[in-house]
Amino acid sequence: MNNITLLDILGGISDRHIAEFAGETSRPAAVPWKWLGSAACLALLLTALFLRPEEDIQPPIIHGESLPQSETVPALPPFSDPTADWGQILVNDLDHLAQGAPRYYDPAEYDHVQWSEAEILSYFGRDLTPAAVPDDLTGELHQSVVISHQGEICLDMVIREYAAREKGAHGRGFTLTASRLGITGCCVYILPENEVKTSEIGGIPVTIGHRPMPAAEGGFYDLYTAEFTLDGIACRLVSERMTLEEVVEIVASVIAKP
Amino acid sequence: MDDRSIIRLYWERNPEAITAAAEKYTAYCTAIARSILSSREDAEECVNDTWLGAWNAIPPHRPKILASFLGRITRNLSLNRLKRSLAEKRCPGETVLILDELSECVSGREDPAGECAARELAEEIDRFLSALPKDKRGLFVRRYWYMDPIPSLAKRFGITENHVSVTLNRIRGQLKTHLTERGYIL
Repeated sequence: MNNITLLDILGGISDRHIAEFAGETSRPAAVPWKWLGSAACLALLLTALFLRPEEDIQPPIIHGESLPQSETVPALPPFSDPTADWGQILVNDLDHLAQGAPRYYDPAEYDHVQWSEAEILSYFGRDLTPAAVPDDLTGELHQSVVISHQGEICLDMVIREYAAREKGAHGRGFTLTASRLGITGCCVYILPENEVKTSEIGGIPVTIGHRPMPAAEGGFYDLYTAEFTLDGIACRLVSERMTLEEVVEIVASVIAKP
Repeated sequence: MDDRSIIRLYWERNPEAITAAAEKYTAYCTAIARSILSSREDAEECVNDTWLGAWNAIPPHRPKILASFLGRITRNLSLNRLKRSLAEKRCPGETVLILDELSECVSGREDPAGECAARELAEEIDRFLSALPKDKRGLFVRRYWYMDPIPSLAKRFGITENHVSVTLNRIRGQLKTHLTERGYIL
């Protein structure tokens, strides 16, 4: 056998290996801002609000406010360091994404509230702001908090969205959603039926998922999810066009905070 | 247009399928062709032939991952063209390097029992890749399927070029051992 025959034969490896690494090799340029997974969730929530009967319309429950740039907190060693132990991070291939619909809360019975940062900190009992945020991403706070007129908290989704806002960023960024009720969004990222692999980061089990997503400019980009529970708080990170190293560092920085 | 719709158009023998596939995957397929062929014109021709190849293959095929299916056609067409270039002693530098690397895995001799069945060998290589850690698998696939240059791999994986070369060298060695132990004569 000669080398070109072997190169030919290598062309016959399975689609999943080809698709797994089909993403862009460098940060691309020039497509409108878009934010597939998490934006879809936010859009559904907003749609549900705007489709209500007119007398029910209240200010949207999704509210954005600028977040201060996070302070530096020790994070895991960067995975670009060849001495880092890649073996400890296990990634599940996401089978597919499923879209749910948010529940409608009748304003006659429920209040949509906006918590301040102090109220968020008090409710969760710990600071869930990621510290290791890449320099090109800026943050916004969104929240979907619903409290019944009887005082019961029915929805407690606090979403920190970090995105590259400049033109040509292609929607690079991530959202980190926290909820004590375990409701972290209406998108479901389906993990493999068998052998869900869990990595340990800072002593906390973290389930990481990956799916190549078709890119508008051609090829694929990486979508990563990371789900973990901290002191009873369900956390879900969804990133697009970010590297696994960046995702792990962000998760580690959240876990490392007291 | 989503992949399922494009595949449906192919199955319906609707020429819109070609337009839709080209619109969505030209950049992807061009990147593959350009990694193999030095000539932009040759690469463009291979990409254009890809849509026709898909037209001829679907049906009966119903690809699970359209991008990989189209990419595979582009890669095969580009390699065929490369073989012609090799015969004419016109071979792009990066491909020469990749072929040199793969020479370590093969004897260069004719297999007296005939060439290993390509499909069977590809499946064994697939199993080998599945057992590799993801970062190493990524390096191998990007180098020998997408035929990325070493500097591009170093940038992509955040490691030095030397680290890429050393890692690929080890993987090739492991692959050769893996195949030889299973009775493949390369």
